[in-house]
Amino acid sequence: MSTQNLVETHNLTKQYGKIRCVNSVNMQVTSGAIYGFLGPNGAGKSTTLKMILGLARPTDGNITLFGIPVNEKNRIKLLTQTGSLIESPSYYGHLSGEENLRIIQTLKGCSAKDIDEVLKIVRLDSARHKLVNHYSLGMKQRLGLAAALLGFPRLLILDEPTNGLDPAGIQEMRELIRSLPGAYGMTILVSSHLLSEIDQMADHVGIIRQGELVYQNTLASLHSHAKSQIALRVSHTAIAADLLREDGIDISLEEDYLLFPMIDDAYVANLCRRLIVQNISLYRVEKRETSLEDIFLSLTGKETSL
Amino acid sequence: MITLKTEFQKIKRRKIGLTMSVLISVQFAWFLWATKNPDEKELAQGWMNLLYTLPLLNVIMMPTFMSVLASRLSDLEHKGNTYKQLKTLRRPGILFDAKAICGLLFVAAISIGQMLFLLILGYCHHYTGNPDMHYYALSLILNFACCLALYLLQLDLSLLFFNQMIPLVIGLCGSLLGLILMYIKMYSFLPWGGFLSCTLVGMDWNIETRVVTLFYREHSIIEYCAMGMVFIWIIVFYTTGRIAFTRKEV
Amino acid sequence: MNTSYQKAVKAERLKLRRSPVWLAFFALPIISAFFGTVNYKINISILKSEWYSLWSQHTLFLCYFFMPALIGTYCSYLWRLEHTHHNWNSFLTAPVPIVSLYLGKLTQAIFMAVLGNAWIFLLFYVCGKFAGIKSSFPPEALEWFLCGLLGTVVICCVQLLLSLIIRSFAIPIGIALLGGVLGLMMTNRDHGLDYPYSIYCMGMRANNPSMEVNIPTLVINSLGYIIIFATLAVLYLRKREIAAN
Repeated sequence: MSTQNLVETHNLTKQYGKIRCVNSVNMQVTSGAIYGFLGPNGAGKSTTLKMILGLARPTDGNITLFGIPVNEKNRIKLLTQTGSLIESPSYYGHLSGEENLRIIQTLKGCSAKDIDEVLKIVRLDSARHKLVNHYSLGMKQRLGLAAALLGFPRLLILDEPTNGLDPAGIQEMRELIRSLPGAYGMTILVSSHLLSEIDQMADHVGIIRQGELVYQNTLASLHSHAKSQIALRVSHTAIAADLLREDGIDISLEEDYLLFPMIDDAYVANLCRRLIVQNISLYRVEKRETSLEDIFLSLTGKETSL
Repeated sequence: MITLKTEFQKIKRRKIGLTMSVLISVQFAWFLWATKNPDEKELAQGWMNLLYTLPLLNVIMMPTFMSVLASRLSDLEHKGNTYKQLKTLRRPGILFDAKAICGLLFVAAISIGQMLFLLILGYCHHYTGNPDMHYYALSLILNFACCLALYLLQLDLSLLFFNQMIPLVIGLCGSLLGLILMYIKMYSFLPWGGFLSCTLVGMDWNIETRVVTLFYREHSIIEYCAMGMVFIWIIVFYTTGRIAFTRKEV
Repeated sequence: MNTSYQKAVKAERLKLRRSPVWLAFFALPIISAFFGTVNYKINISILKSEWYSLWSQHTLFLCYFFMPALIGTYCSYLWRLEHTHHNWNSFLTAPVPIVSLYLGKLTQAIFMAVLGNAWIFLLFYVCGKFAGIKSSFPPEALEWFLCGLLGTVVICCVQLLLSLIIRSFAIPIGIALLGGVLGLMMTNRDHGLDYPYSIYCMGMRANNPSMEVNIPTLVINSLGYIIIFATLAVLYLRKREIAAN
């Protein structure tokens, strides 16, 4: 294994008819990471994850897991080390939660003790004998996670794991996912359409838009793209604008506000002094941040900057 | 009316029409096979023979096929788990009616299709004389009623049980039961024997000469009651099903 | 518990807990046996071959129409478990070869069909004793049973393929019934052994217990059909992206 990447795709493409729902995706998930796979609904997240799991066949490109190429021959070897929860949870409704896990445990060939442990992890041990048909959606989702955890695989692939959970459940699921790499040495690839969720959970992020991976890096580096501006409201906007232009500063006008990139404190202090000297009243001097939200929207929305 | 229209929209691409056409085609194939190379006597009794054979075939096939039709029309709601949504949009009674009427139209199409192919077959074979339209019309109505009773029964079961194996096995048992009723010549008041009680043509088989003679039956009072029973079944299955569906908690 | 085949079989058995689907295999032969015996007793003046007459009364309709449809129902049920509740995702990501997963289903189907057949024979014996047949139990019954078994496996393979491809629960069952009807026509034209749905009836001698059946042809045709339909099912599972839609 030359790299530390647990999951690697090269020009991964999936075409349905004439539509390319996944287009030349080069994804790299480093070992031990929680990789947040972010994108609006229908951007190709599930399809990508399904191709990684061998549930869908790529039209083009290839995938390696643990440095081993994904193909028919290696399928079993790779699936043994992978746990997954794709789309809605899979379950047999006429069986109890424990019986559902028993089926997966049998197929995975892992120890029966794992069932008790994963039930404890997802806090379903009290509902283990209840029929899954009588579970709430959140419980089914947790059961799905428990099934993915069985055998404590090296790689966990979770597709929208917080779907259908209530706020408390979402919080619980996030904390649970965050604890897994530390506790069991797992690498996690988790998808979501909510930036805030990935922001709280992941340390790496890949953003997909209309089938294309438009951004991939650590979450920290995404944060560094967030930039700050100074917003200024004064009595004579035109004069103030001229002053700034003379200084060679890019300005923009938004409603009554003059916006310009934050330079340094000394310049702002100096600017204020000069405005007061010219008898211009200062109403507001504010710091404005481009939020992660804006970056996400600009990456996934119509604007194609960055 | 709108509810009925949505029923038809829902079953788009479910190929129910195709399924039912295949059913009629196979029956048609059977008839072709059973009536090939007719002799003089068979030509003379041809029109009657068709009316004699049809219920015998239907009694075996229809209970199962009505269970297939009913399951096909209701299983999509089980699979899509759409009851909750539907029940908030429409009164459950209306919903049941829509499913019933939707199936009724299919059943009507099947019965008419069957009669049409009998007529086509008869004319192709150049059976003696013209078909007795009076009996053919009556057969059509009775055949339709028998199918409808079974359809409603199966619809009730299919809507009630998530596990579609239950209604289908009951349909299958119904087919077997109908067959056995036919075999031991016991005209029955059971819904599955309806086709038999509604047979208009009787057969006389002379054990010595081995000559088969067909005739239009004179029905006794009890036999008329058995016929009327079919219509009672329709009412019973419709009302009980509607009530059960309305009361069902989702 | 080590081979993947054993794992798959055990998993299938676990899935079928709490579902009383075997009841159907219990009930249908009883109905058939009951009415068959009644009819035998009523017509005892014409039906003179004792065990052989009773056998045809018991099995004729059961084998042509109802066992195929019943096996079809069971096969539909086996795949419906995966067709519902997004189970294809977990079914196909289990670290077990697809062949084993398929064989797990097939084993379950065959197991049920064998039990059903054994039940038919048991009912036959009991009803025969009950009907007061004095002669000894026909020694050919073992051959009927074994040939019938092969025929059952053929039907299991066909129906498993149909129910895998057609997602509807009911339609494959309708096809099974039609297949049975066509099987009767094929048998009457002496093509009974060439057609998947009628091999079973031929093997069981359902029509006529004294019928001569070419055993080698029956075995070869059955094995041929089993291999063809099983291969098609495995190929379909491999090639089609079942979980993708």
